[in-house]
Amino acid sequence: MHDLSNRERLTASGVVMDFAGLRALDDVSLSLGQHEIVGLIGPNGSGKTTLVNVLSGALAPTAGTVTIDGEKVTGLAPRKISHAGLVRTFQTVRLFGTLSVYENVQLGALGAGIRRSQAAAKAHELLELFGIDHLRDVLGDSLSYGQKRIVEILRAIATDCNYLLLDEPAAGLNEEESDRLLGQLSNIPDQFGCGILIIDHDMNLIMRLCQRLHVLNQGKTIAEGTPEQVRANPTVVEAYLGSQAAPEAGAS
Amino acid sequence: MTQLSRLPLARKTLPVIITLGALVVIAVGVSLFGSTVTNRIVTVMFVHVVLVLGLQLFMGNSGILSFAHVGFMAIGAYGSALMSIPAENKSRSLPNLYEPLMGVELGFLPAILVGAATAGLFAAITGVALMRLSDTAAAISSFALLVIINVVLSQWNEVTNGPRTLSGILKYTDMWTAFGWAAIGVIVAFLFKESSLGMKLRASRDNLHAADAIGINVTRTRWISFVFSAFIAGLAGGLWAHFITSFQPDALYFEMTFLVLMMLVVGGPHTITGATLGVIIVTVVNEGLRSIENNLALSGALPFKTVGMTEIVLAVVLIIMLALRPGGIIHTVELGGGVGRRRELQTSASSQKGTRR
Ligand SMILES: Nc1ncnc2c1ncn2[C@@H]1O[C@H](COP(=O)(O)OP(=O)(O)OP(=O)(O)O)[C@@H](O)[C@H]1O
Ligand SMILES: [Mg+2]
Repeated sequence: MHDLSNRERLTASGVVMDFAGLRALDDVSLSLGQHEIVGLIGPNGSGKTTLVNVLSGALAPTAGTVTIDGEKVTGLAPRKISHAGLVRTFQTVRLFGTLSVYENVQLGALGAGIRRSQAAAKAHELLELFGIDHLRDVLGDSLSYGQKRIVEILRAIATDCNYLLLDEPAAGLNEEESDRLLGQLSNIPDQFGCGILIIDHDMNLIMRLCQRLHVLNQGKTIAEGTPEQVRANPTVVEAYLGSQAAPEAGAS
Repeated sequence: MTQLSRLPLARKTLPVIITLGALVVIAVGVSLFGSTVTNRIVTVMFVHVVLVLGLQLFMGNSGILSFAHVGFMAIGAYGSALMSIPAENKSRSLPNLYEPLMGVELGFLPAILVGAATAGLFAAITGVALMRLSDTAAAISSFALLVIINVVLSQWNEVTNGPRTLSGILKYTDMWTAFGWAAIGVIVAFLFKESSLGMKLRASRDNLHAADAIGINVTRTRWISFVFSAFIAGLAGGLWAHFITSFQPDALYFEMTFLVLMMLVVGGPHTITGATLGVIIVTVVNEGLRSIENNLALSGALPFKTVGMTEIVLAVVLIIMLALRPGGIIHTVELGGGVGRRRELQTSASSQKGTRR
């Protein structure tokens, strides 16, 4: 039960997810440390969101196990999984629309059981750190799309999570916003001891941000490795990257 | 800038001050210029403020419709009456009452607290099941709860005098007592809304999945709030019973439920300023229509009966309101809770531009 080698890791092994005849995930295994950023990529409908749903407890897998820090958490409710240190964001942003930015971020901490005064201090600190202190009292619904994305991420970080799963955080952002997001995300593992699994279709962002990539196609893992390895993988190029792979993208 | 940093506090306190101020103006106005009739109407209105704010505390913050609260009010009314009716009156109004309860003769405050606690206890037990249901199923079940409470109160002859009128209750509540409780209700409602429990409840209302995903125990949050809110409704029942002094179970049933939900929905369930305003508006409209109805009936000017006109007009007003302003008159931001918001948004927008280029 207690696997020492996985003491500071999120792991999924042999995950299968069936939806009424459709195998959305087929024997997928993946792991994430607390100090790395891993990209989860693949064409539309390849099962990326489904995998995040399984990891975060929104779906109970048909087969396979998920562990957090060596502890088996397969099939636990999202709330329990968040208490175990894994928090996710959603492909369609889910903010608390009638609550202020400050309250939204505080709630992350409150949800994790942190006391009110500390939660408030934490929210304050995060808003300043990410330079959106001026939006403190703006209601969630009144934010721009890019602002909503970052607030959702801050709300997750406020839980003191060790694993952060981001489902297309850069979708709908313009180039400038997505560049800023890149800078902010790349600091998170070191700043907060929180590993990131990020889904995105923006290859420019993914290639620069991630240390490792995991590629899904039709529910199956078709490649794993560094951005360079993945970009050079002919199967990946054929299934997903296509002409996208050709352009420069200086790896950092 | 320093002014701006003080705005959040103003946003939290101004709505409280506005609400309390409005209630004070009404209370003082009526005590100076009011007739016995207006005094009576306003006393009941203050009791309704307590009830509606109790309902708002759960319904407004959780987004779950509850029909059960007038039932909780009824439990509070009967429970407190049982505690406070003097022994000599009890032998007359409830001759078959169980012996141990016969001699119980508590003061006003302990009596209404016992009534409220009974309502809270009932909500605690039923809420275990109710708060696990989906929003719609919970709303329907709360309606069933109202019916169950009414049936039990109407049948339990020994304790309630059955469907007949229970009398012999002493009059404790006057306008200023009711005002005092309404003021406490306003403050409690605001404190709850801003508390971490209230924030979690509002979060679950805005986005259930997101609340769950960040670790909020939605079922537990809802349950605690439901119990607290039932306690306040029970308190309102005690205040009401000790003002009306004789009533039967049907006085706290559909008609009152309709009126109370209307107050909340018209004013705006998400806001306390709105809920309070709703109580005031619906009271004025309701009483106005009722007196027109009575005068018309007395004068015999119309060829048809006017009984029920008030309810029909109120129902039409409710439908029109819901169509025009679904979130109520004050729907998202408390009255006075948006001070400087626009200016702040402008400054934030311009400072953003500044940093970008
Ligand atoms: N709850 C569900 N019930 C039935 N089928 C589902 C469900 N969720 C996902 N699917 C199916 O599973 C497959 C994988 O979907 P998923 O959302 O995981 O893809 P994705 O990789 O996130 O795609 P995208 O890049 O478009 O977000 C799709 O065929 C989808 O229709
Ligand atoms: Mg997806």
